[in-house]
Amino acid sequence: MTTPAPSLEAIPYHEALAAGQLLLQACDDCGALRHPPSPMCPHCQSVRVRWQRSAGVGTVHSAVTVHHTTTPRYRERTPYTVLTVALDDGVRLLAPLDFDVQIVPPIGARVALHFVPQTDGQLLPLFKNFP
Amino acid sequence: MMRTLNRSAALTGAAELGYQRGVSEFSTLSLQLQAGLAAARDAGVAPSEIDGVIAMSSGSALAEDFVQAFGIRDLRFSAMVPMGGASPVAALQLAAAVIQAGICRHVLLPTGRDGRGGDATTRIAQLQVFRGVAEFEMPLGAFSAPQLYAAMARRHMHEYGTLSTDFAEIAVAMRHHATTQPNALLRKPITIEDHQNSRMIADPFRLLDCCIDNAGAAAVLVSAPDVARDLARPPVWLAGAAEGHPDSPLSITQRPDLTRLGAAKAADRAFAMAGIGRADIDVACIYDCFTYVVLCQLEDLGFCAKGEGGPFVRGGALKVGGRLPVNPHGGAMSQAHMVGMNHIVEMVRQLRGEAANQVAGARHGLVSGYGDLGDGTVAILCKDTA
Repeated sequence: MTTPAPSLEAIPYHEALAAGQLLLQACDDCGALRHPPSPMCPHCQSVRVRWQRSAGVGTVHSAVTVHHTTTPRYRERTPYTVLTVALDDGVRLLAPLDFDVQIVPPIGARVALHFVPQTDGQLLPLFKNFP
Repeated sequence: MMRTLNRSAALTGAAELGYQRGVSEFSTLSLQLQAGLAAARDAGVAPSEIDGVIAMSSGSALAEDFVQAFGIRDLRFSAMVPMGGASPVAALQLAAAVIQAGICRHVLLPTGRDGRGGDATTRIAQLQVFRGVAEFEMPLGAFSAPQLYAAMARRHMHEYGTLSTDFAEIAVAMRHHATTQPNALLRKPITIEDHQNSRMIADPFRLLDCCIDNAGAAAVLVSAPDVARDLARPPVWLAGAAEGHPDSPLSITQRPDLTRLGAAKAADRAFAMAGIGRADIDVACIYDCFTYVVLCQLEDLGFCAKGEGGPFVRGGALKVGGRLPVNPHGGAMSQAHMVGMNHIVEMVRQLRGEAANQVAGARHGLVSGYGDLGDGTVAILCKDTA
C-alpha cells in the first residue's frame, strides 16, 4: 500500500505534522475550523484559509484496538489502539494511542497528542493520557 | 402528475455463478460477461436486446465490453455508480429512472471479481471515496474497513449498551441460513459462543463479525413494465428506491453522529414511494459487510428505534421464521461477498417463491446496500400479483 500524494490544500498540515506540530485549517473569512484540510469552507464556502496551531488536547470519542492488520509497518505493533478524539478546538482527530500503553482510555477520557520519533526517524503523532 | 418509480420497472432476470475462495479460472471481465449472459437468459431476453449497462465502478468490465461480447447493436445508456457496496441497489434506482424516461427497455447490472485484485485493504485504498482516509488516516494506523467501521460500533455500544453478543446473533442467523443454501461458501453452523471465542480483528469486531472475501459474479436484468410480463419468469416489481449519504460522507471520524448511516435518509423516501410500511416487509436482504452494519441499518431503516438494534436481533429474530427474516441466502457473512448483488438476486428468488430458504408467502421485500464510508441505498421490491 502506498501513501497517496498530499492534496494541494493540505501541504501545510502535512509539513507541520512531519515537524512535530498539529496545524488545523481555519476559514480566513468566517473563522470556522475544519479537518481534514479541504478546498472550501463548509460554512461560508470561502476558499481563503489560515492555519492555527492546536494543542492536540481533547476527549476520547471512540476507540478501536487493532489485533490483525496486513499492513507491514503496523503488524509488529499489534495490538495497538486507534483513538477518535474530539479536540478541544472543535474538530476530531484520529491517531494511535501510545504503542506501549496497555490500558485503553475509556470514551470521555482526556488525552493529549505528542510526537514520538520512530525507528525510521519519522515523528509520529500519538495520543497519551492527559495528566 | 406526481412522478414516482413505483412499478416503473421490474427485475426480470437474475443469476449468480462461481462463488469460490481464492482465484477463479476466469478473469473478472469473463465472470461479469457470463453472469450478465445468465441473467439475460434467465429472463428469456436475447443478450443483444440489452440496451443499457450500469457497469461496476472498478472499471473491470465496461459497458463497451458487453456491446462487444453480446452483439448489442445500439446501447442507449451506460453509467457507473461509485458507492461501493451500496452501488447495486443504487443502480436499481438509476435503471428504473432510465427506463421510466423511455431511454432503455432492458438494463443490465453486472458484478464480478476473479480474486486477483489484491486484498480488501489494497482495494479500498484505491477507491476515490477513500482518498481522504488514505491521505489523513491510513498513515495514522487505520487502514482497513473493520478498523474504520469498528469506531462506529464502539460508539454504538457506548451510547446504547449494545453488546458483542448482539453482533453474534447476526452472524449466527446468517450462518444458520447458509447451512441450507447450496452455493454458500461457509456452511458449518456456528453458535454465539463460537462468535465470542473467535479471534479479535479490530476490537470490538471479532473474526465472525466480518464478511468473507471471494471470487464469483452476479447480475440482474431490469426491464420496462410493458415487456416484463411477457418474459420467461414472473417479474419482481420495483416499488420503491432511494439512496442516502451520511453527514460527513468522506470521513467517519468527523461525522457528528457516528451511529447514523445514509440509510437513515433513504429509508422514508423508499417506503413513501412504495406506499407500504415496515410491518409489510416479509423478508429483508441487508448488506452485511460487518455484523454491526446490519444492526445499525435495522435502526436507520426504521425496523426499530435508534439504539434498539441489540434487543431487536436477540433470540434468533433474524432467522427465517423469526420477527424479520434477514438474508435467507446467508449474506456476505456466509454465502458470498458480491458487493450486495447477491442480496438482490436472493430477493428476486424470494419474491418468485423459488429461494433455497423460502420465506412462506413473501410478497414485499427490502434490499439494502451499504458502501464506502456509510452511503446507504434501499429498494423495496414486490411480488407480481397480476
